[in-house]
Amino acid sequence: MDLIIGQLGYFAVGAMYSLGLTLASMSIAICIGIVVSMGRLADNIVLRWTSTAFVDFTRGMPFLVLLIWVYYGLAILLDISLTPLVAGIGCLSIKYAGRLAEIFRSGIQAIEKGQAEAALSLGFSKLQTYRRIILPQIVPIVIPPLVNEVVGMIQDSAIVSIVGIWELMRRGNSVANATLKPFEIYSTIAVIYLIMTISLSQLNERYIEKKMFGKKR
Amino acid sequence: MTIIISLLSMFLGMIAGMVGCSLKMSRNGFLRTIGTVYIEIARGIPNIVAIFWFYYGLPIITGITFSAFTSGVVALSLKYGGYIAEIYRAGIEAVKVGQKEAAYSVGFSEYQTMRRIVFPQAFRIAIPTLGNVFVGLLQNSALLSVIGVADLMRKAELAVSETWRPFEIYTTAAVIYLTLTVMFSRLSDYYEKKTAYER
Repeated sequence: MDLIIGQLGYFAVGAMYSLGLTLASMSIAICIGIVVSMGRLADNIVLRWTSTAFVDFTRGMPFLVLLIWVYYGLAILLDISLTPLVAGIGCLSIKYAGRLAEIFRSGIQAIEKGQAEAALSLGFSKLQTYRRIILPQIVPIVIPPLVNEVVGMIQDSAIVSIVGIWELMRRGNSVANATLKPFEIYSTIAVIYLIMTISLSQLNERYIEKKMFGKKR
Repeated sequence: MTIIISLLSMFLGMIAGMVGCSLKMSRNGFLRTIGTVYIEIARGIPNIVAIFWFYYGLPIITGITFSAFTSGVVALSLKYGGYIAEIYRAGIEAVKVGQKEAAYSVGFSEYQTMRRIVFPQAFRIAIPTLGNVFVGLLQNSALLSVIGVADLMRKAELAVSETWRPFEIYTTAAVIYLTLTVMFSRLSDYYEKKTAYER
């Protein structure tokens, strides 16, 4: 018990890293996801085809394989050395951008077609229609599934420990190896992850979903 | 090996999910709490933490050593059991109440109603989602390579350490995973279309 309490500060910093990774990757993933979802709905066939390929690729690739492929494979081929942090955030963003793109797409498709038609007939350009009419309206629709993705990303951020980012999981591994007390350490790590994920998903269920749907209906 | 791990974990996960789901929907408050706690824990812990916990942690308090394969499969099964339990529950709740009432009124017992009326319909509703879960499971089975299970990813790592050609080998592994997942998600799309047509 003393051992665990002594390490709590060390683990708390790791948990901060996990959350920081999630925050950074989520912001990038949202930007890429919006662009890709618009690409999937575009009239231009090349755009549509590339974005569909992107979504299929990112959703079909196991995260671990993607990470190792980028970190060990791609870096060698292109002769650049990625820092673990860049590789980790990059891979998390790409992987989740594909999933977010599908969420955004279903959000965009949930907006009545008439709205876009009305905007276009008023002389809005396509980009203006998206920015001023459609995207503001999808926010309440996509936020609940988005929060679920954040919960998933906190969990997947544990995998980037493999390339050597000192987040929670990596710290747990190193302490477990040093103290030879894997049961206690991994249980503590599990509890810390549980606190982060459950509080977020409960917040989503109890508060955000109700508020968002309350506004709409 | 990857396929064996995924199928086995999926099968065990479906059993764990069934148990978790019946616990959560039980009328007994104590059982319901156990079900809820199981589902929340299973869904809240990262896969890799669960795998490490079962492989390195559990043997120490129980005194039994599991092979990497066993602990990996158990970790994945229990982890996905939590997701599957919620999918079953959504399926069961999607079956109209009238069906249940009709079954009771023609004299079916509660168990019979579940088994003969509600569950067959709920399962059909759950099939496409289960397909997606299976694809996710297939991807996450790559994590077992971390504790040394000789799955596709582990084999690739070994090949890389022998040949020093990471780009070619990891690309091949990626293509194999992509083929598998795209194949299974097309299969699940096909079922989705089929069930959508019948409803």
